[in-house]
Amino acid sequence: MSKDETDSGDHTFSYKFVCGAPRPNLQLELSVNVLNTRAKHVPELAARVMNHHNIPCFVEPDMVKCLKEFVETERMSIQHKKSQAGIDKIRKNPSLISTIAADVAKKYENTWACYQKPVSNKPNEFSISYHYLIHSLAMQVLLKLEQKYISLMSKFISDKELSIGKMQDRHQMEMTRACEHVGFAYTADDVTILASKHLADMERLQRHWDTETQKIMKTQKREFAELVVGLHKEMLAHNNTLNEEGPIYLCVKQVLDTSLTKPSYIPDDSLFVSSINSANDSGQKSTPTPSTTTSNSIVMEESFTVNLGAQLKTMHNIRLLVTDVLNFCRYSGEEEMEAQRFQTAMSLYSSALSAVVLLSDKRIGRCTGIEQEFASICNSSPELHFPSLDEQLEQARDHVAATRQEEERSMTNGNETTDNSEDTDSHLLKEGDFYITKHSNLSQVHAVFHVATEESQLQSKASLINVTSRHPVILALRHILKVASNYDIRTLTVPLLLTHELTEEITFQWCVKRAELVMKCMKGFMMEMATWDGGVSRNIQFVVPPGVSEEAFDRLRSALPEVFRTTSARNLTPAHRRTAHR
Amino acid sequence: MFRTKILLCYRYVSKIGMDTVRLGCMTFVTTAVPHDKCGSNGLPVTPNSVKVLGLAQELISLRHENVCRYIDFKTTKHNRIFAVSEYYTTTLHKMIKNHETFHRDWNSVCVNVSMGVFKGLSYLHEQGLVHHCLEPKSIYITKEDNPKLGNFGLHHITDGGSLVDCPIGNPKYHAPEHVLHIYSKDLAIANIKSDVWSSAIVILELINKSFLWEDKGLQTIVSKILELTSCQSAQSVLEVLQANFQKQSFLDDISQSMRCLLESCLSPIPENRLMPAEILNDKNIFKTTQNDNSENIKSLFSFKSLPAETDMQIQPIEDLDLQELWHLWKLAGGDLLSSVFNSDTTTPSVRMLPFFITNLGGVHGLQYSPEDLFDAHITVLPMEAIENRLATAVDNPDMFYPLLENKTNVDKEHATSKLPLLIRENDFEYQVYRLALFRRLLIGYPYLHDLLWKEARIDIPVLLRGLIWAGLLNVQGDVEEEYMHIDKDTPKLADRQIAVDVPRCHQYNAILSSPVAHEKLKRVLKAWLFSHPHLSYWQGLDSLCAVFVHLNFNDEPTAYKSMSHFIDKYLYNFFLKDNSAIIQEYLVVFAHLVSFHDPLLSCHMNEIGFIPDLYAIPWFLTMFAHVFPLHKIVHLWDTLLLGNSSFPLCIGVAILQQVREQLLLSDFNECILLFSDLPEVNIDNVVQKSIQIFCHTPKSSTFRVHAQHESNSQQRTMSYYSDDYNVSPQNELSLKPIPLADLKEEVCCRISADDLIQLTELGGIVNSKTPAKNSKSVKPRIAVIDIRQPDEFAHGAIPEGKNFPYSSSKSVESCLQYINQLKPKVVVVVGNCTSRFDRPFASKLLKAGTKGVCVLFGGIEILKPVGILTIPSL
Repeated sequence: MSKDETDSGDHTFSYKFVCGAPRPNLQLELSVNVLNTRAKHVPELAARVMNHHNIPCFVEPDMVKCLKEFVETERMSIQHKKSQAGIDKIRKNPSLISTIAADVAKKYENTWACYQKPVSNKPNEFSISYHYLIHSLAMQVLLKLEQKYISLMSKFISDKELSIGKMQDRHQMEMTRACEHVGFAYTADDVTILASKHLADMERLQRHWDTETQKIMKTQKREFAELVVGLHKEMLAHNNTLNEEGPIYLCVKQVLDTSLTKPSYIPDDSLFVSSINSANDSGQKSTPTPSTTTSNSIVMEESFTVNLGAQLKTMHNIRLLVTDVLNFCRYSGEEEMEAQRFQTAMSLYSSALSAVVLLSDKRIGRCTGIEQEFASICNSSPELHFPSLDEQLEQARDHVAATRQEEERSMTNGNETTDNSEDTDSHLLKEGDFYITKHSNLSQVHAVFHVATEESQLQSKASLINVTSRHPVILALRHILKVASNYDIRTLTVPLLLTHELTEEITFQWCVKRAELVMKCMKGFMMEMATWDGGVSRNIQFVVPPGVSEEAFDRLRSALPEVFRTTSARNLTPAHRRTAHR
Repeated sequence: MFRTKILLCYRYVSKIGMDTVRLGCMTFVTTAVPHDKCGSNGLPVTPNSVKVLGLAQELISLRHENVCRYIDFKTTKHNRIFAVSEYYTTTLHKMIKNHETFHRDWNSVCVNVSMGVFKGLSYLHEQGLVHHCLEPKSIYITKEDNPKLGNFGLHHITDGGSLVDCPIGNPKYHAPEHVLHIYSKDLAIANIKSDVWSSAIVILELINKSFLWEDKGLQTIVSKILELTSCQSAQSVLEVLQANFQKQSFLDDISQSMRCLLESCLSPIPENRLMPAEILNDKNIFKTTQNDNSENIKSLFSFKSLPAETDMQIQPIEDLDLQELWHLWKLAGGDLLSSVFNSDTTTPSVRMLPFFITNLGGVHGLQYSPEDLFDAHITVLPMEAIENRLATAVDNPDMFYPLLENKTNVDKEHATSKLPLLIRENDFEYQVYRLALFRRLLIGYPYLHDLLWKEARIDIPVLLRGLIWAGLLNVQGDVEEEYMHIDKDTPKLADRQIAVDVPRCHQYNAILSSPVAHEKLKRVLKAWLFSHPHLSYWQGLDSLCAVFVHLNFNDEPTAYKSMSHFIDKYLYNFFLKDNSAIIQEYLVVFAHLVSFHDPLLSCHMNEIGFIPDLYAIPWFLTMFAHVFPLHKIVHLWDTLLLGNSSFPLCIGVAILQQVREQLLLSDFNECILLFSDLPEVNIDNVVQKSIQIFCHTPKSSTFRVHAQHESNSQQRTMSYYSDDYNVSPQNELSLKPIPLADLKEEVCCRISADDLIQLTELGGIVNSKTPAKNSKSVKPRIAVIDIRQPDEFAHGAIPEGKNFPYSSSKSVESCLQYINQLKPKVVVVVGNCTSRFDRPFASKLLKAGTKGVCVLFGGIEILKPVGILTIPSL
């Protein structure tokens, strides 16, 4: 029996046996990998060898036994040698012990729950409490409480606008007066001084409001969290019913009863202002409420049920609708607001989330276009569950920067040539990258995927040829579905044409072709998705920007069942709208 | 031999004491794999949780008195694994902690425990496993003071720890070399001798009645273990360890044998430690070994003293195998996820969403969730629900202890058996009864083969399906030995194709998508190919094999043998290198059968040229295993296995019936598209419909030349349906093989003369159901249409035959009128064997939508020698 010093496990087994008197002793040599051969495979191996060499069957039991022993001892000896080497090392150099011990201990501490330092704050306490309350008798109270915070916030925002408006008015007045009197009471320098003073005043006021906003949002959030957790405990203690006398409940009542009288945080210099300013000022982040609750308009709509998969079929619902994608974020009018809020709040901590895909650009949080509109919707009501949009964007930016650094490092490790990347690029996304924000105050979605795109390119005529199934934005859709399947997102809204608005260049043909591409790719990804999560039924909503012609919609409507090979289709566009469009 | 294997499954039925055994569940998270990576075969990387699931299946089949059984493994999202195992409330840890409450001789406790531990380790070693998680908390003590090793599978199922982030096992009990392996990440080294060390530490703690290094930090403990390597001998290790206990006097007190045991286990050099089996056989250590064994044997043969009749009580829960208990636990409303994972510890999905994902799919900013850390805690599953439900079973012992040979009992039908299958499969009481029944039937197999067959016609319990199928397929003999001697390793031509197909076969199923399953599938396929050298691998065989491997995951031999018998019965010679003749014939017979049952559809499909060759080959080549998901296949095959080799044809017709409306409206292209992505099929309807179709088909009309003509089952023929025409003896009235080209010329089914005689009851009244009549007593509804010239007809015709001469132009219409009046189940067109006018006549009937049309094979001539022809009275 030979030994192999490299420990690959291949050892030669030699076996002698006699079969019948007239034949001499026979010897057999056989290479066996003792590390990969398990005891249960030995009889099979022996049977195969016997078959091959035509060895009589009475030899078999002994051969199996010998082979088993051989494999066993050889494997043990390899293992022992390895262990011995390790032990010898620390016997020779006992100082190694402390480093090894520290390393092993660290491995355990990082991965075993019982070696973790006990954490005092329970990270999931609030979400559990909230989920419990929203599904209990307390849901009305909870919604009222949220409503209260929203109204407090919107009051605060209108106050802010008012005060800023006032200051602008006053400044304008002062400035006009100063300009009129240039050369008399005021010199040109005075005007400049005044202007810079105004600017400073404005900045101070703005900053003041901003910090106040931050402060009030923080207190609101903290107060809300405390009340929710407290109320949950109180209800659990009180047999799962609302305890009308409980201290927390009374506290909630008190918050609800606070009237909208002017709170103390309104700064002094707005006190003497009386007239209401029209909102023609630019550069303000917050737009007045009407725009955030524009009654939504689903112009045309169609719904399908599809079964996807070769053997195991998974049922999905697909909706095709013509509407502004942000209609899934903003509330459609006061009366529907509560119902929508309720629906969204109920599923916030459940495993049936809903999300929307926004096509933004490569700069995170750039305040133009759809992102700006989105930000204004987000900021119109307080975010009581997650960090504010700005904070989330900041976090995303950090992660992007960290990722880019990592990439750079691995790049330079590989080859030393590329180091010309500029600092400004570190926050920039590449096409097809996306970041995710979480929200509790939007009408129908809990999470938003912001995909970096080159929108102008995506809309161009040339994109019909350029944008294929391997385009980064299409691949981003695949990654989004992967995230959706991993994190229980059951409803996903996707811009079917990969654009949020229709430009002059976009033709009927373009629409159809793009839509078919996206649908085909989505179908493929959805089928792939079944292998990730074992087939969970989902709602996929394809959104087409408003302004698409009816015949284009009809074309898409007939293309969808062709692509998905579906059986049932129902036109959900209300009859009056259908006729109106004809 | 097959029988003994079933018995073996039940030999180690673990008794459930109300207060001792439970089901416990452990859960952990495996390392996530990046989802943008691809494997070497171009397919996505298998998630680690699925790998774990595959590796874990082997553990379920382990049975030893000193080893806890693993019952089931589940995987959920986020790479989480749930391992359900046997669980006892008393652990060695508790025993050491509360040693004051034990008033027994501690020394004998120590001996008993150490013997049990080494027996368990020795068994694990035989199985090629190592424990590596040995600690007092993982050693359970049963009511009978029998120590059982728990939590031993972690090392195996995580592939030596490489599939999880965390190191495995309580560090305190690790041997020095094992700590070094954790440090060097050299996880492949799985040495049972490390377990020997761990057990010695456990025993040492047991002897001392206290724990080692209780107040020490983790790092100190690890360095103390490593420092032990500086000792030269086991004695000095023992002394150092002993010095670390708070009470130090024990070393002098312990018996010589215990000391001997510890010294043979605690050598710092693993090579010098004894093997578990060596320890057990060492006369210096366990003097009582011999005695114990004989006692065990005695208790095996002696009956326990029965309790006095007054307090005799049936406790069904004690008679359940753990696997059955687990199955029923789920049926009784048990929810594993919610009982193990209460919402307090779960992070909601919305909070776990990552921040940023690159266009290559790299995920960044994953949220940390505390429950992903490893926690060795075992949750005890609540048993109240199942106990309460089972308590009602006591009221009706017949249900739980069915008597098989007592005919009155067996014939009694269970009320639930009339309900839909889905309800039956989820009905707790019904499943208790079915499981008990089938368990007994399997123990009685093959003697109870007929009874098994009879009960299987009602339904088959999910849990025992693999074995029941093997029984229905007549698997007998020493399957294991046979399988072992088949060469599954030698490279073959088909290997490449198998390697391509296997990772794409029923991969939506988690277990089948694991590497272990791929390996098993490959082995069974290769074994079948090796043992059937005249047959070859055709794509589709993998799907067929997957069904059997999935059902008999831990029993490759049974899977292999079941598959071989299945193929012999239903797919005889389908896998020949040149199988076109067989398949062509099969498809023509299928087309004829469609015309028999659905003439309009058949005509439509013929018209547009949508022939079975275009869609039905994968159906029949895989017996629908490629077309449907596993959960549908098993229900379909439950019935298929009870039918004869022609039954699959009926299933094919039943499927066509389900998409009939769509087919009738579609043109060729749409039909192709429809079948390229077959719409959802209601399998229950297909099963019911196919039984109907089978019952309405004359058995000779599915005759195939290439079917298997000798049967290996020795069933008595009981009724018209129970015998397979293909295997029944041939005579001059039977169907004769005709060339394929001629067969293709036929427009509809052929019926043989003997079948015709049987259906028309010309040979005497038969009291059984036939395709021509529904119940036993009524007259058969069969129309015999004689299309010869009137003068020929007058010379001698089949009694009850009607003459509609082919040559006359009006005869088809009047024939249709006649048929409409009579509404026969079977219409037999009889002509001359030379002129063959029966073909065009039959095709006209088909076009008119007449169901049940077939032609008499051989024409009227074939009946002439028999002497049943009479002169018709006009």
